[in-house]
Amino acid sequence: MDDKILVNLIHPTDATQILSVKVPRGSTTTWLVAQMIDAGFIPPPGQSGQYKLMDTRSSLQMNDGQTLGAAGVVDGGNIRVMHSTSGAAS
Amino acid sequence: MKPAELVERRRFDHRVVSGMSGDLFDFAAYRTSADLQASRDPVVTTEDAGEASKYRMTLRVPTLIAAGEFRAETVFGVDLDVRDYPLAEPLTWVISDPVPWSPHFQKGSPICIGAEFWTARKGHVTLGDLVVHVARLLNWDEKGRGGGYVGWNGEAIKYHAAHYRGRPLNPGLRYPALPAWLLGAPAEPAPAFEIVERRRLDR
Repeated sequence: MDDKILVNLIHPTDATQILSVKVPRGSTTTWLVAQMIDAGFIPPPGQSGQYKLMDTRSSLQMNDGQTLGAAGVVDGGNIRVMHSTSGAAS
Repeated sequence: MKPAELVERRRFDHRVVSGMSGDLFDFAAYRTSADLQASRDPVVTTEDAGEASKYRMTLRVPTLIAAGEFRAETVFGVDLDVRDYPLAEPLTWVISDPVPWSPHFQKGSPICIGAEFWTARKGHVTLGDLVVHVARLLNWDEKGRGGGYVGWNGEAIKYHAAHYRGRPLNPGLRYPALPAWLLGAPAEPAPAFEIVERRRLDR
């Protein structure tokens, strides 16, 4: 069974809002974002937007699809959720 | 397949691969090829899953990229927008570079998944099965396709025969697993996304 870790997810526009969750260490960024949307913690990103996750301990932005384990996120770690907007298509 | 049925099939495929995401496998789903190429506006909710027809998939299965040289992960694309899907196999292509050194992979060409894997099953095969199948191809874990088969890379076949004697690159590799619900097993007792606390800090 995949071991779980506790992570604190920090809201993208209101950093005082924290969602603490236990998730498998193999959870990916894509999956986490989908779960946060399903849980109503963050709204859908919109047509041209997307969410990125950053481990506040390392200040490194996690890659799309990267797992928490691969990104070095530790038990009790804090993850900042960031909303970004992609540029207009040429 | 009627448009409404195709939407449900896409939703089903998305649910299957969502249940497989983890250390070994991950994906991002999109509505259009342009979105996939730009990595923008991914399909992230179950509500929109019926619109997902393009996938960027990542398999972390070490595979040969040259004689004795390995690459830890392979990224490939899957397009479900093909005539007669799911009776016809989806379009596949390798995104990562270099491409696996194998008879089944070639830059700019579909992955050679084999007619017996998809077409012969007449639609009774899921996108998740394709993920497992490609993982096996990357690990050279398959029955041979007969003497004389060279696919796109006869040199790689000779190397594998000489160094692995028909065995997988990693015989103990754990493959991505189809979700338990697809196989009729009861649902997991505990949710994977377990909310412990939702709080607001004092300013």
